[in-house]
Amino acid sequence: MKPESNPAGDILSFRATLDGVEHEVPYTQGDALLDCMLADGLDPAFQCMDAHCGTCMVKLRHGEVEMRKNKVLSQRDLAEDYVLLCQSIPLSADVWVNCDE
Amino acid sequence: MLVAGSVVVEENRPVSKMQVRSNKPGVDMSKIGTLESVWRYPVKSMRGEQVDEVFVAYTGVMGDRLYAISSSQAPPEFPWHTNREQEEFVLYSASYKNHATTLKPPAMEAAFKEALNPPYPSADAFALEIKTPAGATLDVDDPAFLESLRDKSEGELRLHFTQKNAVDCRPLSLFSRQTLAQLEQETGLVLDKRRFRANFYMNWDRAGGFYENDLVNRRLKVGDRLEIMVRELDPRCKSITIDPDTAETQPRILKHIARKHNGFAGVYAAVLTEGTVKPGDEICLLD
Repeated sequence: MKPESNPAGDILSFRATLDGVEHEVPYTQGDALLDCMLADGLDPAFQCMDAHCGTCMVKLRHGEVEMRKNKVLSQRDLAEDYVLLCQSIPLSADVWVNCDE
Repeated sequence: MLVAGSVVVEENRPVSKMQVRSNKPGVDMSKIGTLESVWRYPVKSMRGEQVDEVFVAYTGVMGDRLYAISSSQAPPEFPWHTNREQEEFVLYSASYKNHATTLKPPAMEAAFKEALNPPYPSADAFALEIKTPAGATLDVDDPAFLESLRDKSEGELRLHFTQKNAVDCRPLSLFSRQTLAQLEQETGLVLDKRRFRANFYMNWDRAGGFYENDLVNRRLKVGDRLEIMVRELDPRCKSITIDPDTAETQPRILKHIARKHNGFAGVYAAVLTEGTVKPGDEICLLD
């Protein structure tokens, strides 16, 4: 997968599958994936935006993210590569999340 | 002879508080549905049990969420370790050793006659047995019970007991057969109502789901005595994604409710007048 970053290493975009359609979502430094998806006009499921409801849990299919906090994903969820969109900051330029799983 | 409301009172004769507190004349109680089943969850987040007839106090269904597990890793405002952090919770079932004594307060009728709040039996009347997914039967305060949870939890776990009902938000949660049917139709999934962990499952007389949403801030009478007020919509979380028989998760259910129903399914209610309820009780609208 082609890395989406500039020569300085800033992450410029990530991929998100939503309702069966794959999107390349522009990434704003410091924002969580959910913020960027909403800014791009996408409609992923979410509610609390505070890591406790679990609505925005999605599968991380590729790349690395770091969650600011997690109050709802279990050890099993994490082992199965679930992450919270509202808390995830990409650490690599090749992040791909599947919102349909 | 005095007439007070719908009660005829003879002069110079003592009148009990209950005689004065009768239905006001002209209050129309229209039946809107039937109570299909009543559930309680002795241990917060663990498997619930259906009951035949049970007392409902201001704090909720008698015996509901009297026990809860806390975690040292949880925030102080919600210290509980739940099925969201450990899905297998839903596979643990709990039953009160003295089942009959945990359904109604012992002096309930006498207390009602005097318009008093019936006292509960002492804590030891609520001794509880847990059946683990591995098939072991343990007393709830047996250290082996918490030990069986520890390998999948972070932080130190502690068992709590309260007669205040350790509910999340409100004493009662209500969910209807019609709302379940609508969600099944919308998602194409067969949904077990137990995912929604309600106290009352209702069967409305009208078709269509989410009718209970229209009842917010309205009073209902359930059965002969219980009066409740629907206070707010029930915001859903990961808990409803957990299959009650397998503990497998299906995030799609919560995502659907978030996108199509603003995250709400079912309602919460407060108790205005205590009473007992049983399946088949009529539900009437008071307002």
